[in-house]
Amino acid sequence: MRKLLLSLMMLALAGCGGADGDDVVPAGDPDDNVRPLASVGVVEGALYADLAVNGDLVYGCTASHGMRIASLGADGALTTTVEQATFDQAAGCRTVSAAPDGVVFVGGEATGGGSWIAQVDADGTATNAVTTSAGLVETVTATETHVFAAVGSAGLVIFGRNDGALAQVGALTEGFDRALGVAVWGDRLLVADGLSGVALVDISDPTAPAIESHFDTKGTARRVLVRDDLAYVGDVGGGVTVYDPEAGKKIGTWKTHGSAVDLAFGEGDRLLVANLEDLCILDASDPAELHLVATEVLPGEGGRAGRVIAVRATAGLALAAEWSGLWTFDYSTVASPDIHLSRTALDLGVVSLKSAEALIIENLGMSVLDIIEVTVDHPDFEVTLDDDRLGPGKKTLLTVEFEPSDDKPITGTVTLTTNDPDERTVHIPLSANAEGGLQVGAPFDPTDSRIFSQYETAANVTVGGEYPGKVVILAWFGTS
Amino acid sequence: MLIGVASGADTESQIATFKSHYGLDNVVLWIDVNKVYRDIVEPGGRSYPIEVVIDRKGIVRYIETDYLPGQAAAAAEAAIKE
Repeated sequence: MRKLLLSLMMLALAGCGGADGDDVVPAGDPDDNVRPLASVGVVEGALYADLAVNGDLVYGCTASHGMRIASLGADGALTTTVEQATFDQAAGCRTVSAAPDGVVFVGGEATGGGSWIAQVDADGTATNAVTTSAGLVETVTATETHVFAAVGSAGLVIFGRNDGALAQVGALTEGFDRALGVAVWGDRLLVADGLSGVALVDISDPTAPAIESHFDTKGTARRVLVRDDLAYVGDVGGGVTVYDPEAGKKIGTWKTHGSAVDLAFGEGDRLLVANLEDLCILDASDPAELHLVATEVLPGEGGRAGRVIAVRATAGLALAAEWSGLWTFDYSTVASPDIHLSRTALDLGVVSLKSAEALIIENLGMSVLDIIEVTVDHPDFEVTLDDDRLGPGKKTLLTVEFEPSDDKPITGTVTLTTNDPDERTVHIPLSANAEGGLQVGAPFDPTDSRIFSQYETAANVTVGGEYPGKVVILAWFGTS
Repeated sequence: MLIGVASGADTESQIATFKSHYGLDNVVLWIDVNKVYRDIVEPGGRSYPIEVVIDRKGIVRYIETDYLPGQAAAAAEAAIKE
């Protein structure tokens, strides 16, 4: 493997790519436990990286194409007020955060390297900017007196707000794996620290922050929230786990079907999760028993799968950033069924004998889910459903058997007809004997669904998103 | 642009050690946490390691699991010249 990588290191090649997203109201008849209300697009060629809400304004950050600002109506409507705020210090921003007193702060990669942090006004003007030579800022978290910047492997940088004269007052560069998220807990910080779990940092003297301890988490800790002296940690590829941070003791967990990349508390003990594949609403009324109550898959641009990367809550509404749009949702509970599938497609593999795959169908809603009809459009597939009537919270198994009539690749679709008000028809793609795999001459990723995690930042990336118009060599390897 | 893609089954500390050991500080590293390899490697009966060359239009120009010295680089250079 060493030879493989080193032989290719001499190559570093070039190119580039980028229509404005219009304000839209999503189609459909949403009526389950999470209902999309409105969305607003992104600057052409850009991907949202973070969002913040401050009063009736929503700020959407893109790493390289500035910031879009939209006004938020009481009904969840979004209206763009600033198309593309750009900044002298950098092309865009990676993170945005509203302080409790209503001042909004942004952070991003500085033009000359390192990071910049600034206050941003409602018209998109950045003021009081400061830069730091420390690493690339991942998140900023602001209080009424300080701004805390998680800067990856460079640790933590603390800025005093000083009535508008933002200035660095402290830093902690040793002892972190990758500082990715910060929550304030009294005179301590909880820092989501990548592979090292969560760090407890004493900030009683902000000029001399000190790590008190770490506790391990599952996976790569990316975001952390605190409520009632409990830490809610979002792990990349893991899920959400609740800890007693003082004891480092696990209280409860929710294992994700996607990747818990961002968290926000909502009303009514709801925990909102940007779950990469979808937006998830958890019931957190009992921290020891987190459970899923709703999911919503968002459409991506150009037919690709939607990717939910940030989430916030305000005034009974949820806001989520998908790469290509900012969305608002009503997540109040309604008495309707809500279908959820454990897998969205089934691949039976390359087989010569009869084989089977299955998925779980769950009713996340508050009334009975009826699966009225199940059909499949290819005779080589046979579908069995254990139960066609599911009470709230109940599950059943859908099994697909495949008996090949020859060795040719086969695709099909299972179609479910249900009484879920916004998912009356659900399609499950099937494939078998798809022996060819990716071939020369085929598009590598026509739907931007082949998503990787950037080693340094744990950010979600695609080839097309990161290197449009460039020649790229991907060299897969295993270390052992 | 060369990207090293680590298996999602590897821990990040394993990857860090690998990166350090082989002096790959200047190589962009991604981790295949979403198991992208499944629809690239497994359906074709392929295995690790695997190299994929993608041209400016996003089209696969080379894909090979047996390491053939210089072949991926040659495919990339050809794609650049177009």
